[in-house]
Amino acid sequence: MRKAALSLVVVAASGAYVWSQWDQRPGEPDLGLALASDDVETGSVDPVDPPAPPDAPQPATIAEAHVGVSPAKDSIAVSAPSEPAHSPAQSDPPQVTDEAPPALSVISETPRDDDPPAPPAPRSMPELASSPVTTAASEPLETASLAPPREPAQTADATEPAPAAPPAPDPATPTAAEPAPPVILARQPRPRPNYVPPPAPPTPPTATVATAGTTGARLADGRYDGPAINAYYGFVQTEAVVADGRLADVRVLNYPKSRLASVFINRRALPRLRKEAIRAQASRVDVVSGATLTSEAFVRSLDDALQQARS
Amino acid sequence: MRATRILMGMPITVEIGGTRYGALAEQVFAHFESVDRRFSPFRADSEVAAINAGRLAEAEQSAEMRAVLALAERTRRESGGYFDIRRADGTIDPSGIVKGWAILGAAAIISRSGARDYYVDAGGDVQSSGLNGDGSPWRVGIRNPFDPGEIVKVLEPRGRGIATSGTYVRGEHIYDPHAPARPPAGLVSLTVLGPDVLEADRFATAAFAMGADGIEFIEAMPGLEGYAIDRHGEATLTSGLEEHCVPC
Repeated sequence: MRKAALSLVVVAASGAYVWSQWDQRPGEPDLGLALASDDVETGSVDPVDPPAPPDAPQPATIAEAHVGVSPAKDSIAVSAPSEPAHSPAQSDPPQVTDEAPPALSVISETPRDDDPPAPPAPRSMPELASSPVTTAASEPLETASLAPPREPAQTADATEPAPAAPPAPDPATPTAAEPAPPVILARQPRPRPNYVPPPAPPTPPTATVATAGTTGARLADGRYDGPAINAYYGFVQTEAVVADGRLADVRVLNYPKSRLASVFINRRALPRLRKEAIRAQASRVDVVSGATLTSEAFVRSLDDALQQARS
Repeated sequence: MRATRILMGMPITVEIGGTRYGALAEQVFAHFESVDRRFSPFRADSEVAAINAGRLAEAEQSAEMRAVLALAERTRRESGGYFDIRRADGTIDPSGIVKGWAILGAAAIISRSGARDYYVDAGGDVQSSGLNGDGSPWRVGIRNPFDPGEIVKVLEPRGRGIATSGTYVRGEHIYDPHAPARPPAGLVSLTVLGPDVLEADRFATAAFAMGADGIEFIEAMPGLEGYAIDRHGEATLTSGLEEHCVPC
């Protein structure tokens, strides 16, 4: 009985995923999983209008396991100024990678006479600013031809139903927008507990994935594969992972990937929080955004700001 | 023309395309000065100080105060309480939302005058419009939290607003200025790109308080993009940020 219920749930998940593809707005990663329950604790703050349909951002594990992205765990030492990239400046001629943007090659060839308002530091390490997409091979399909406009409607056949073509991002639009497709549940951050001097940081919301579905019947542990459902562009198949009697994870086993258009759509739909190691950029900038600095750092920032003001 | 002043405890820069806007820049700085007089928690005669001392009834609050408090309450709800201007002792400190609100007001002053190409930068939160002096979209760099002289990301907001929340790095120590004794748990820097600088600022503040999960909150919110940097120098980008990166 429970097994049947679970199969039903997995089928529903596959179906919901399919449905969500039709109404998907790019930029909203979503598996259409009706299963990730509301993370809002009962009895906490007023059950608010969620700020326009925040879709369930999947825990990092799902993104990593199924999109094939391996987040770069490269890190730079906190004592950053001596990060490895600096040494080439001394020993080697500047190295320009294949992915270096044209601006970079210019910078690496000639010293710049003009004094841009940008902070002086980038000039000292021009060879560093290779493509910020440094998570190497993690995104094999990230080619220029797939450079995502927000509207995928330009691709392909007339016979293909257009994927949801959203309006272009309008800076004037407030964040509270249109209603969500019903299967997409808001992922609310767990409400902040009443203020007490904090002994430890609050429990991250991802921990609640394992405990989602608190009102559901206890499920039998294991992995359950849903049927492959025809999503027009291809087949979608999901797998439910149950641990401790609860739905612990939902994996996408298969998704339409046979055509570029399908791949593009799916890459927009599947969770895509991407990671990279920070790298110094050599591009000229007009203004700098960073946390407001104070105390002795304030003076440095002030110097910098006034330099921009003078140049 | 471009000018910088220290107001509200931070450097504020205004750049307006064209050379005839000296008086306009003065209006902008006067606006920030007025905001500071009203909202500074450090000025004994500010409206915030009066509220905190119990000297001002709610009915006597200014329209600006009411607007800011309403915004703060909405942000508190939308962030599940992670943004809260109320401190433990019951006093309020609206700094986390006043900055973005003030910049947006400044931008409105400029655009009402007819200028189309400008930016306003207050302490690293930026509202820009139009093109720079070279005729290109304004470019905003994200500061390396570990090395203030370095830029680690370049964005073209194209009319959108940018705000960064962060902790400070002093040598090997990372600390949150609002809770210096607490061991750092999450992000060192979180930059948010939003429909305008007010949206970016209020959600950057809220999401930063959520720690490492703040970037997921930003990802979930339509209209917001983010760039988070953790204490190991690893950055996380939301899925739509690339469209604004230079290069990406």
